[in-house]
Amino acid sequence: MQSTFGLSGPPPRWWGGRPRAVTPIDLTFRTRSKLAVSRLLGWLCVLPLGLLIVAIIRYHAKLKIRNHAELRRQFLEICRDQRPLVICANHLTIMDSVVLHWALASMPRYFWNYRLFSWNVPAVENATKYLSWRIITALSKCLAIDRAGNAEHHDDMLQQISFLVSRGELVTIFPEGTRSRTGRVEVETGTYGIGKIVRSIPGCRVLCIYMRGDGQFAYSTFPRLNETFTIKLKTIEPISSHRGLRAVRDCAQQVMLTIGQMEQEYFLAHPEFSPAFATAVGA
Amino acid sequence: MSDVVMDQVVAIVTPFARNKEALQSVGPDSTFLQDLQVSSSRLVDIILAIEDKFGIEVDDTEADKINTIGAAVSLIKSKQTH
Repeated sequence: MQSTFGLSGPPPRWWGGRPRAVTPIDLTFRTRSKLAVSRLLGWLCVLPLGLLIVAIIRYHAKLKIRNHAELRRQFLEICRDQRPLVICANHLTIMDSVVLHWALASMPRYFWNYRLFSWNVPAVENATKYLSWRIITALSKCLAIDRAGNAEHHDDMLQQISFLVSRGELVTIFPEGTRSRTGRVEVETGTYGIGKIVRSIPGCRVLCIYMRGDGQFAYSTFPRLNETFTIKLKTIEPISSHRGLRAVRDCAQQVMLTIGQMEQEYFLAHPEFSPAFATAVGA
Repeated sequence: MSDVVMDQVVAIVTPFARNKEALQSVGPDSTFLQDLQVSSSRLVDIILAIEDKFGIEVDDTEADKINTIGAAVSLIKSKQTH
């Protein structure tokens, strides 16, 4: 095992491939240690806690995912590429991160290769809402963000995310910033943090994910019981001919546009699941 | 001159401010994030809109210092005099 559990020293290699392009992003020893401890705790708990949560998802909530095996194969294929990767998904329920982790790989796979288990950036008010959520977020690679925090706090969070991504870790963020109040991807109101991350790490790719339950007509706290999810993946590498903030915005908008486009494709393929259709038939 | 620039900055900020009441008493000391409740991403939109409106270029270091309406107005005026 590497020192500080894989978060110090030179960027690691995955599957023995070529080194990734990275920009040196340094953090204080205290912050690096905090991340390393969080990672170690998460790895120790990924089997017991992860399997428990998966059991609840599968046998209590009875959630299902279409083409689940194929989805996991695609995810592994994408991760075999050595370049840094950030996961960006649309956001409709507070369970999205949990469902995504379950969707993308099995818990034994995460235990075997814990880098595949992505870091999450939950809102601090959600992460600390209940004792159970507090425990789960403490043990599952979470960086709680105060959305109402000042610019320094947000910059610090972006630094930590960039550091992790540049070290080969995966980070999942929801570029909409919050659950979509309209139930659709709101391309115009997306946040630009992903643009800053992408711009700070040369060669950084973004895995855009569109996920939606068949009965998810608007945003909600939890998906409905017996829900079946459709999850689509598309990898992009945002680039911009602009400089500075304009480039940041440009890259972030490319991500939002891609997810928005994936949503359009979803509703073209499944018009029966669109909110308009549901309204029309009184669902 | 400063009033004109100030008015133009306020006009740019208005659609992005979530605290509409604070806009009634907006002044040079009004902060974008706390007082006007502009999100950090929308602040980027505001800075880019200022660049377009006044034909100036704001680099990242300067952008980090734009915390208040007054700071934005001062930056615009200093750029225009150069």
